[in-house]
Amino acid sequence: MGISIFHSVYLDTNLCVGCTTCIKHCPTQAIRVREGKASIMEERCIDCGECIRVCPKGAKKSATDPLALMSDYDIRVALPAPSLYGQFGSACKPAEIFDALYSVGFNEVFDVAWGASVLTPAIRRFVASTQTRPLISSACPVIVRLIQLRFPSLIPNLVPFLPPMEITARKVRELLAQIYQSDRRYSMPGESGEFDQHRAGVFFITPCTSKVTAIRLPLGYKQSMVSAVFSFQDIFASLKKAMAPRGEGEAGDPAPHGHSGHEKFSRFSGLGRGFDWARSDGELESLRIPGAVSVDGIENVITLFEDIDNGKFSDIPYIEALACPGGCVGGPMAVANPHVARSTIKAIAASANSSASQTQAESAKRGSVSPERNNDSPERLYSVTDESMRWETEVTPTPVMLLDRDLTVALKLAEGMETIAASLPGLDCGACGGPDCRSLAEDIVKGKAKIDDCIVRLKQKIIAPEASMPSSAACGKQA
Amino acid sequence: MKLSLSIPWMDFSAAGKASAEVKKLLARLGIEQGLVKRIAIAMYEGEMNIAIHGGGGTADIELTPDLVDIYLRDHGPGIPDIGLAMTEGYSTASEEIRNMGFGAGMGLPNMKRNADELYIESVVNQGTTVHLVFHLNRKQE
Repeated sequence: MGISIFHSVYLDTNLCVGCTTCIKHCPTQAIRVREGKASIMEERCIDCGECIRVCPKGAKKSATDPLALMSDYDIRVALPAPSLYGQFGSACKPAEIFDALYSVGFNEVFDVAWGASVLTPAIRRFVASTQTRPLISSACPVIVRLIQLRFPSLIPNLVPFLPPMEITARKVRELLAQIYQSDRRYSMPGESGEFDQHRAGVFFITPCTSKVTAIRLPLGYKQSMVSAVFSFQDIFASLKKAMAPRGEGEAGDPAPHGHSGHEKFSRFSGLGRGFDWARSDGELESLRIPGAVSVDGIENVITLFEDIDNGKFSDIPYIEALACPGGCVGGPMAVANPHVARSTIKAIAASANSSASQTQAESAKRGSVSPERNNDSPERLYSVTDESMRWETEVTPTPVMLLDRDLTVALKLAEGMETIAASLPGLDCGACGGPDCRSLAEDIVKGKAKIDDCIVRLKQKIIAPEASMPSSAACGKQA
Repeated sequence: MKLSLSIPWMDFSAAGKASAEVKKLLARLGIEQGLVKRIAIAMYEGEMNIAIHGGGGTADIELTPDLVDIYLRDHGPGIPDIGLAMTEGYSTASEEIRNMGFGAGMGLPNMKRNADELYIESVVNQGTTVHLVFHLNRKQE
């Protein structure tokens, strides 16, 4: 019933030692350790990557695509997430990273920061047009999935727009078609030379585990225009290598390149605030909605959503909610220290923003906009309507916690669960392989575990087989 | 089935925990979202009332296929004038509590708005019991 079974986060069973660290950190209680190995309950996983972050053995991984996949395509477009610019230290300018991307084999580079920058005014208009409060950003796919699973009553609060990645990918496809179909100088390699979207690879470069899932099972739209997802971790070394021969400080304006890039797209340097979406607070600072709130880190998000669910904070207009600590720079597949990356991003966005406004001011003075200058204003050059960025499909609740579709049966099971939970020690030790006593109770009523999986109870049984568990040791949450 | 939860006094970090627990239970039962939201809001208000005014107390939840009954009990000062307490904006919360963003005097009226039925029993210096009733007319898909 529509519950996804594809997930980016997976377990390398060879590396897993069954230590139970991950089960305690999973925000949706989606992991159990069974027979010495962790296993992910696919329907509950929201691809947040918390388990990847905490696994001491590196057994939790994300199924991003191998870089070698690039060679399957005749045209290769890189879509760097804004957070990429925070990975190489503050001395490294965006233009250098752009060049490095060409050097490693991309023909075109198109910043996802562009998507963020065109989405910003659309969100602003949407917030002004609706009474729903608080509105919640849908830019982070983990947050959208979290809401589907744990806070379905907040689905109407989500801002119904595509994520910057998808907005950018769509524009890229559109531009590719335009360029290759209208300009006779460019043709696809091969017999006919005719343009074929299938042979154009659009590659999202990201620190995010959930984006892999988002392109295969999109939320709010039918099909993703992204071909594959490359992780920062996989591409970092080759980018670094490509950058090495360049000296410091020669970044800035585009210079002629000795690489294979076609560069039919305009080269952007003026995305300004779009870069800022890579860090927590960045989206808010670009939106400038008074009273808006930013929250990052999945546990902090859950705490806030719990309050909203209780009817609080209906006076807050907008919430930027990001699953990773510090925002996307804190993604599970990021390379740089997230705190340092955050500050780098802040500096890049500020300087891009000031140069963009400078350009605008100069153009205004001259009274006309030259085509080259126009490159600095992608919002004008590549226009996009608010409507085209809206969700196309409904985002629906995923009732993964449901015990049974028949309420009478579900009630019986829930009652059984409470009885079992009351007989458990309430230590939430995780030794049974579940995150807490209640989840063991749940697994028992579902026939997926047995009472002797509780080590504490089992020990009692061995020491004093006659006596049952004393009632004083019952779960503290119970009366 | 029954669920019994304790609500500590003046522990605002724990406030909302009973409500969260009930929400989890309702999710396991597949209760319709709109109803879950109403229950959560009413329950949270009740929790806050008990935490602020009632000196702590309990929440007892009883579920049948037709009804959700929630009894919020405390042994606090009681409500001398229930009619007045039901008035929007009326509050006896201290300045300190108000400064924390609570005690806007919307608790009971808000509970009444969200519950299908609401009954209050209160004896001064003995305590208060608020009984909330919700009807489950579950949509079958």
